[in-house]
Amino acid sequence: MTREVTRVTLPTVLVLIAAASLPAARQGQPPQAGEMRVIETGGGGRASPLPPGSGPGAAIGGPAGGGLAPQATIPAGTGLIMGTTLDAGSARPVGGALVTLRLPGAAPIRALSDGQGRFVFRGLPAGSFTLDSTKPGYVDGAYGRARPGGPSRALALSDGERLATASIALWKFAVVAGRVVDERGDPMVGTTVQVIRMSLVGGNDRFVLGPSDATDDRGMYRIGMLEPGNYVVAVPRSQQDGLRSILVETARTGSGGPTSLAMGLPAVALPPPDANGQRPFVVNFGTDVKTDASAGLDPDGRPRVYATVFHPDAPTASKALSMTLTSGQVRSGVDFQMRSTSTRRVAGRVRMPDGQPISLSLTLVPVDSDGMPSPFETATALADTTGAFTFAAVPEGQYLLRAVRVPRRFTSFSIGSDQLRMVSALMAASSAPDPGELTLWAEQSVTVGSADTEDVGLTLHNGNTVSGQVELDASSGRLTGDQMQRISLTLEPLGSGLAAVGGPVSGHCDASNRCVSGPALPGPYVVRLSGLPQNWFFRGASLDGRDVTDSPLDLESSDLSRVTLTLTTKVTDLSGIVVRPMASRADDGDLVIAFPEDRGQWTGYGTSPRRLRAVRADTRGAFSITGLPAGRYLLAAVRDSSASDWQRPAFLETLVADAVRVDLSEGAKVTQSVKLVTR
Amino acid sequence: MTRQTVLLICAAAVSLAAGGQAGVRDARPLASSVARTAELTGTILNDASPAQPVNRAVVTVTGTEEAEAWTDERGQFAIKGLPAGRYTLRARKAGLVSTAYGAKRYDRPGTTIVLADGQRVDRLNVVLSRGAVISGTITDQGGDPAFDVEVRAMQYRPQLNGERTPAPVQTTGASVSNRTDDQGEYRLYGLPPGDYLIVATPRSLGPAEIRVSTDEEIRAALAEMQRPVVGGRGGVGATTPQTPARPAAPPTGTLAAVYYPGTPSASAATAINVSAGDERSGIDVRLQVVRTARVEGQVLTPGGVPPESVQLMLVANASATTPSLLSGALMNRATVAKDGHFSLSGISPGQYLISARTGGGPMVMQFNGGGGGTATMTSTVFHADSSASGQAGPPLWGQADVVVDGQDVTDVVVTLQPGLTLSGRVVFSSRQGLAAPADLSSVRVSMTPMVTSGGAFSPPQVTVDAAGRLTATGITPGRYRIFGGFLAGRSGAASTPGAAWNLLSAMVGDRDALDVAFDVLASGAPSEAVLTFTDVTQEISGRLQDASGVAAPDYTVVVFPAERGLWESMRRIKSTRPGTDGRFTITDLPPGTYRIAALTDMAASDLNDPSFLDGLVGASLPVTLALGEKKIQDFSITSGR
Repeated sequence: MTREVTRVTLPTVLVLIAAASLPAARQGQPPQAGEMRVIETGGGGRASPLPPGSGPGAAIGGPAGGGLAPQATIPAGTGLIMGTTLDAGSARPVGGALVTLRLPGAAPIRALSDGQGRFVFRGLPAGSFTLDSTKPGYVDGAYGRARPGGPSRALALSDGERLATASIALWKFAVVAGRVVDERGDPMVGTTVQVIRMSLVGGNDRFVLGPSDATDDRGMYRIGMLEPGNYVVAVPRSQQDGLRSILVETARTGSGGPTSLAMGLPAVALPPPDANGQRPFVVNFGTDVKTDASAGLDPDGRPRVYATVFHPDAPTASKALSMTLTSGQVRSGVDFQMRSTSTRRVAGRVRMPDGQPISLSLTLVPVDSDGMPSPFETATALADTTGAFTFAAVPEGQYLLRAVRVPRRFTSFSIGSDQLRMVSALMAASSAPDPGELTLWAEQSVTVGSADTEDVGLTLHNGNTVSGQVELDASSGRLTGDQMQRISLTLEPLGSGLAAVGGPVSGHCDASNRCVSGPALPGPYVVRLSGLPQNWFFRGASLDGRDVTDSPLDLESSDLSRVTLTLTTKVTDLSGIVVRPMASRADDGDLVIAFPEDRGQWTGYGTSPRRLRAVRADTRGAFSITGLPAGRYLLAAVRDSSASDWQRPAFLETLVADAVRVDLSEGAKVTQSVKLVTR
Repeated sequence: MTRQTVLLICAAAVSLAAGGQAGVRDARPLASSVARTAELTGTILNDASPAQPVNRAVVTVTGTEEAEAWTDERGQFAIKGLPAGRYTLRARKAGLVSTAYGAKRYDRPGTTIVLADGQRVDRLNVVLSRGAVISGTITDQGGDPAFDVEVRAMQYRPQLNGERTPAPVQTTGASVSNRTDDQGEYRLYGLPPGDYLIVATPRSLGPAEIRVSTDEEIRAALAEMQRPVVGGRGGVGATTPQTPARPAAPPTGTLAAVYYPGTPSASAATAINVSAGDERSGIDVRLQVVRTARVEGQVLTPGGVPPESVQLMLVANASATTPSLLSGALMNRATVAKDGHFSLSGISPGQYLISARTGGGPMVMQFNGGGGGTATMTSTVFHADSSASGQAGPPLWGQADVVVDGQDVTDVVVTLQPGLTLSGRVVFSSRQGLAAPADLSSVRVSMTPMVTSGGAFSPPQVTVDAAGRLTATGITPGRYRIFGGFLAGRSGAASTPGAAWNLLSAMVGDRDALDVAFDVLASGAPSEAVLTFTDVTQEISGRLQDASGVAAPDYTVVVFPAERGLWESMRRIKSTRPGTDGRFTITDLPPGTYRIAALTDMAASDLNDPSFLDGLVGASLPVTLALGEKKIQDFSITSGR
């Protein structure tokens, strides 16, 4: 959804090629031999998989969905659905919106609404349909959706029914616009302006990258596609030192094959295969990155650089102006004046845990970076094969020097009869494949003062694992070895430190009920189990008697092997009725929220909350919440349209006074009515 | 299109070196102990009047070594510590048109600066003109601002086969494509002077068909609302005796790419001419919904071949479609049913090629990109189904052209037939006593179709065995050229035979397929291809001087075949700018008879134009290059026009 046209690089092109050829039925499954994994280009050397079916590649393979695995068409009938696509703010029609009608199990029908926003689907059978709509410039709408990103509603059509009132609201994106000038007031041309959204992660606000735009020849930018929310806007400036390249490894599988790879780039000759039939080689798709002296040189010859600025003139996101944007709002005048600053050199050497040199990418992050992701690092550099690295131009300040290597993920594709694997990363041209595919990390603080720093020694540490034994609740029965092996243990990072940089780490369980995570970076995590057999439930994990499910486990530089993981079949069920004011008409727009009585559990729960749940009541007001862990909860009901921030602690706080207390013991079935809070 | 070159007559050869003399001009890599004492300085100015210095322009030098510098507030730069050698220098800054030092125009090669140890060359001044701006508003089919539409500047460029097709502009420091903002506005800047086509491409809505809500459809629905319900709830008093038939399917359509001022076809587009620094606003385009159609037909297969093993692709004729090479609308794949039928829906108006083939190999889509290059996409086929069909025989292929214009096309017949085979051999002919490689299977040969306007094809599979026997299978009729070589390693020349062996010729019948394309007819492929490698190369070098003997660097030297039949052979047509010492070298020319000329100015694309070469014949000198010859030919310019 972002304007990333300018960032399309070689790997992206390849992603498109291969995605085109993947049958839809296979998407979302783990890659098999000869298949590809979709990898996004990570400037910081970390590649992460995109969700299947997302990204630009998904569109190209479209007919693979329709054509290769034909779905049944929606059966004929005499029903009719007619409606209008509307702007949620002005209630005026939105013409030319794409409306998609879906019936489970059948191929969807798509229609473009007319100039007055009208659409119609005739000849429909009875069934439970969903309707959604997209239009460039608007947040997607759906039948029954009352807030951006909120739940939608199925449309039940009886035999021969004609429904003419299926309106779909679309929310106009908000816009920020402004100008970027240098210290002389001249426009900065082609400079990236980045929008950062404050998003709730684990109950805490985190800065998440939004869309970006490049300034034009007047220094002006304009970024649309902003959903309602809180934003800061910045001009990130990151220095890069080293060679940007991708490593392509080929495995020859036939005697034919091409002599070169040509993908809209200068052709690259393929090397002869080695004794094993492998042809590892490197494609450089950039040139040697040189120091950016666009801000000029100091009299001593050192380059000056422009420092990252957050609007209006702040060095960090938390000191920036936070703007609350509503649907359709245009916030112009979000301007920047860039200032250049003098720099120092930071050089050193990085070593493996055994003292051997290693070539890998390093980043220098401000100490007060607020967990901002790339491109908000101050600089990246590439150590050469002797482990030597140089950051050529670093402004004065306090930094964390980080090096993280996680097992590489490959893109596989074939050209002719050659199977190729590609990894996109910032790595040295001569870097040999990492045999152990180790998880390595290092973090060290660096102060850049008035002189160059020449002798930073950085030693990598191995990642550490968390493991433990699964215990089954005594009365719950047993699990087969096969069922156990499908369970995986995942560490979900908390906070914004190194653990969050590494992201969630998954592992596996074996038939002897032992589970182990993959190697993880140090920091706080919560422990999760997934892939549980039906009717089984993860009660929790503990380490030395202390809970590590709802409160954090601190991983340091050693393995933790004594975690106890408990499974049970005793599942809680909390159901009831929403009691509405006498005058209000019954509909299914009520949201029932269950949340812990202990405010400490409103935050710090990893990527997904276990103890925070919201469900929509049906038209009669009935609701049911199953699978909450045992504990003391508060229960409240609100109108869904007012609940866009329901996981936010501030919102939960407003519910406390009107909420009902519910005590859920393990496996309890509790019925509780709850009064609708209207404000 | 306008010829901006002025022919200058170079008359007499001053001296012809003795034929066959191997003038050794070593290009050994620089030793690390080389002196780095030379220096280049200069000023970058803009084209205002009076000229202003350009602050923070990037100056790059390439040649013997590469280096980069930024200009200061006075527009000045200095690149110090260079080893002696030959360099070209180029300046760029976003929004301005990148230009080389000594170039006649931004798109012309620059002068080669010859630098001696300790030498400092001053006053290397380059004027950067301000790029032109094209801006406007894109509206949707309803006249509202259209958000997130890709707007791109295109230029006609000659392709490999000589055809001129619109291709994306390739330049640095410019924004040649932009997505519209929420107001539907776009702005392209930094454009070099020239003619541009502007095309607006909405985001692909995906290939499945889309119904278009028409007034008729809405009226029919409103009328239906008035009729009593038949069946279902409230279905009392039904007056219609039978269940109404399903309503006729409404028209389908999609949003198409539109060229300024409002046409889906590049040939009907209006080109916008801009000069340096022009600002052209109001280049507005309104998007259109075009009717889409269904394409259906049957694949006829010889007995025993299950149609399900057929891959079938519908690919738009590139010259008639959008520049978005990666747009999903460009490629449609279909499955072929057991009875051979296939169906594709949501197809926009245009000319298409349906390609079908059996066999598990990949199909390749080729697009003619800018600058004569081509982008090739390979559709990878996972072998799950081809192994199931157990196909062992030669691949079968079939093609059909389809024109879609809003009406369903239901009678396409694609007849599969076996691919053709070409055999041949690889020969090693040594002049310097180099032993032929023992294992020839690392020779790589490709047969590349000369598609006229892009399309899908199945490239022939070419294999070379250890003894040098060549086999190309799965050839479909068409025009082809042959390319070949060794796999070059990054490990250096020593381990790579290709560093010493060069492909001299690829004879198919009496024609060299390295120079000219050959035809494969449906009636049969040519009988044999012979590829010859040698261990020598040829070159022409010399010095260009004026009548008084002074080096004449401000010219371009062109070498082209004496024989008109070879004027499509790009390996035989080369040009270079002499250095400031007047010296030039043109390497890697095949043996043959040539003509050599000097020009004041020339665009690279002129060399693709036979009428341009025709004009040079009278002003050129004959040169013959024998196998392995390094010819030295100095010449002087005696008269101009």
